[in-house]
Amino acid sequence: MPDKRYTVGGKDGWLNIKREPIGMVVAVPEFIQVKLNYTRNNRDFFVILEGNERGKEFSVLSGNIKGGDPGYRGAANLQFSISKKLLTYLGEKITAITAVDNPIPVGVHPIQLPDFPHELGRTYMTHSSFAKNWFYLGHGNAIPGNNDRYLHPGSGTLGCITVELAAWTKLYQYLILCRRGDGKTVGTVTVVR
Amino acid sequence: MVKLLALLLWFASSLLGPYVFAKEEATEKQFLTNEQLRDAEFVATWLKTKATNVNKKEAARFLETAMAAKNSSAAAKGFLESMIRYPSPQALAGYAAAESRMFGEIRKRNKNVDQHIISDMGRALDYYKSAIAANAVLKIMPEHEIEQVRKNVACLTIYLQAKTPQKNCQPLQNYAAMR
Repeated sequence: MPDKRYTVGGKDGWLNIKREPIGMVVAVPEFIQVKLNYTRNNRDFFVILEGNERGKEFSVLSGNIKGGDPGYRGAANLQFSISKKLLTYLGEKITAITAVDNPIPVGVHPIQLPDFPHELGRTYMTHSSFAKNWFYLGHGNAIPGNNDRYLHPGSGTLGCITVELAAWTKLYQYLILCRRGDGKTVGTVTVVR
Repeated sequence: MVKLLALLLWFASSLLGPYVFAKEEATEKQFLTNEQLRDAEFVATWLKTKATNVNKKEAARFLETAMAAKNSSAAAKGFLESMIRYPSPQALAGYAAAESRMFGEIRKRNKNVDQHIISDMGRALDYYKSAIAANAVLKIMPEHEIEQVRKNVACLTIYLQAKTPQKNCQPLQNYAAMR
């Protein structure tokens, strides 16, 4: 029976862990499922089971991965109306925008688990502790500058789904516990005109 | 009784109405739009008359992030967040360059460069013109930088009129480098 646990993030929702055996430090999101292999010298050695680092071995100081269920939910189903500038989830409607010159294409897009802390969000940390936690809307990994449409908080947009700052924390806290069961995504967003 | 209640509701709404409207307007007008930022005259007027109560500190932080960004889309996002708060010439010119590079990459991926190059370069031209207008008010851009922006405006103007490639046109080179 594998010892399944999950990552416990800091105030910003990220946890720094050490890649084994190289020792490079990587930030992973909170609530990522891991399999504990063993504990030695007050460090837990584990394999990540979902997200960008899936299948790789890491270690962290004991106490930063926990057992149990943090409250995982089923897949999220978001709807985004480009013309109405509205993102709907769980019956809530919040303001969100995309770029006129480069709008996110109409259709269904997967919402991936956050990939890495996005530095641009740092300036918004006064509005939301989770401003660096962006969800990639696509298959595979995000390719900077070439295919990087995200669901993220902000004021201006270049073609992502950019969510009003005041609504971000609640949306993030909902999404981060949703799972579609593929080890990569938390759900989908359906984009309509 | 019903009439009294209706009167009270009408009175309350007449008090509340302007407040709600004003609040929505303030939220709407908190940041500049891309359309406004592409209008050089608007940018110059805004800087002369309305730039007093803006969050320059936040704009400066985004500018810094944009300049340190390792790819065109992160840079463009940073310049965008900066210029919608405070349209400095650096943010406007930086955005024009980063957006051109970013769209060069996107059009290449989508194999539709020819379909978009005129509109993409048209937008870049507008932002460069706004950068010149902003600098005419603020006078904060080093001479060699504003000179480069002037060159960009000149060669893009010729390109958009003649529709033929211009030698040594930096924005076109940036866009094409991504092809």
